[in-house]
Amino acid sequence: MAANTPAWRRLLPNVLLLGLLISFPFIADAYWTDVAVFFGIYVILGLSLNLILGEVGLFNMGHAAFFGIGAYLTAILSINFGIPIILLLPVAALGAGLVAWILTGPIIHLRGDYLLIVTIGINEIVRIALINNPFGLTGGPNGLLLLQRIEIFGWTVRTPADFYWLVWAFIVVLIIVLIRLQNSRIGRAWNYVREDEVAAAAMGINVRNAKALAFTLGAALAGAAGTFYAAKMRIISPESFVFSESVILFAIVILGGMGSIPGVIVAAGAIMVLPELLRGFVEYRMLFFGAAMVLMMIFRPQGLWPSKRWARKLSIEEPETAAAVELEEKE
Amino acid sequence: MTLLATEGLTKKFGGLTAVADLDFRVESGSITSLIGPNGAGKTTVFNVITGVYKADGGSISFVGSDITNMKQHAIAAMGIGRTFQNLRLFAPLTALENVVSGQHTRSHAGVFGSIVGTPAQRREEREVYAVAERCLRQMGLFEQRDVVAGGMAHGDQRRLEIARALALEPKLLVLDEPAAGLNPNETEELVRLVRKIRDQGITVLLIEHDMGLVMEIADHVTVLENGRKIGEGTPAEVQSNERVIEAYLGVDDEEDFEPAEAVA
Repeated sequence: MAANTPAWRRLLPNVLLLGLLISFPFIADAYWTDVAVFFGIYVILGLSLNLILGEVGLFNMGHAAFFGIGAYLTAILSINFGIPIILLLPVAALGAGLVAWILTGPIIHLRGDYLLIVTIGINEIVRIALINNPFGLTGGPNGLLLLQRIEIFGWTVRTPADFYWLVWAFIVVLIIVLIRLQNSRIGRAWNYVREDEVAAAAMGINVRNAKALAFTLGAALAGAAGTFYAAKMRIISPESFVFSESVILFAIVILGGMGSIPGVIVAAGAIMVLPELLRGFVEYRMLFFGAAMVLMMIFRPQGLWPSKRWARKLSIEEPETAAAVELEEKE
Repeated sequence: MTLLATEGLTKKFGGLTAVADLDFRVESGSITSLIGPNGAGKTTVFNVITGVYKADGGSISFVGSDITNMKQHAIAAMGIGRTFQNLRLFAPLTALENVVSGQHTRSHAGVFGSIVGTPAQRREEREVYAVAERCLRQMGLFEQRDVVAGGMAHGDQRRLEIARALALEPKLLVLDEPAAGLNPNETEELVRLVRKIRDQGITVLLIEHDMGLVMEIADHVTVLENGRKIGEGTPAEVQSNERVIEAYLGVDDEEDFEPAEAVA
């Protein structure tokens, strides 16, 4: 069992992985480092949708809307008020989270496909609102140009490598946070709601609140991903936050395995990195993608890396207590 | 002392009155059983008490406070644990994970506490798992703690539902046909377990078809027919109640019917 192997043996794979993660920009060229940055942004997006779709089973097919809200909030506040982008990271998260939280009021009780249709609608509303250039803020179909760069304590994020470290450092922290949430009473409540709402409520879980919390947190995280995206792309336009983007995010969670953090990372990699490797067959990309989806759903519906549920050692397993209980049972 | 009482409880589904003007009590520390022929409204009563359905009339009080039409999760938090007639386990999760769900209302960690892992949160998690472990042992399922609930034997799933409800540390445990689909040995085991739960100070409310089981363990029986109470009392009293006999055996059998006519 894992408990018997020495600590260094268990930590070794993680240390090696972290070493590889940090040194990647030194190994790879600028192009692949750039690919890794976008891969990272999709990992954040995938993990954010995983909170909603994977952990709680809410069919959110409009996740790109929250991504867009975060990106546009960052660009608008940076351009008009010159607020440092790094300070806009939490602002974008709060903004997207707030919009999501308000939306949960009328929609969170909807089940399955009904919620899916409504979230598609939300995605469209956001896209069209951005195109319509309300109050001259969003720049219409042309979008916005962000001139500022991210600065953290005097370190300016300029090169692909800088971006890479920033995004992946965020992901490492995020994964730790998400694993802790998964293993907590909140993460458990989400899973109970996903499996059976009636039984979850009978166990005293406030189903509505549990769903609203996951929806809001997931949207906030997508908003934060929007900040990274805006800072990296520097030009953002409505077409980056359309329905098909939401579909790709949905596919990442389903392909990876609902509720599985490593699954989401693998699936985001498959969707972002494989097309780069298959540049030569660029016309057939969507064909491969579609075929892969069909095959996956037939042969491995649980996902590439299904979530290993929170198997956990029980606190105490002293033989005498066990024996005592057994004696008691027999009497 | 009365733990749970309904007064004039009524529930309608469209034109059908499933429960009509029901007065019904559960005494603290008892095993009270609700029986009746199919379609008598037993499960509806359960679902109204536990907040799955809203009552159309009347009131329900639990430990002295009015719980009529409270939300399902709030009623659970007040200390009513339940099982389901058609098992509703969290099928892909393990037995232990299922039972831990009962402790949700007994723990309080929020998002921040869970992420940071505050000492209070860690202590709470240890307690949560300790209670779950105790409940699993009590139901004799500890060895199967890491087995996925959906893959367990039917009888074990029944007991797992009880373990999960016990993890709520309820004052009242509501069992909806716990013996359905059990073989005689398993039913006997269930009787023993339910008695033991009562002896721990947890009041038990039981819906059951198996009359043998009810007569064996219930302290008090209420009989429903077409949503109305037609009799109540100790198992012996109920068994000799003519209206109950009529409801259960029917009156279309001539041999049974003739002596009754002769009396009249």
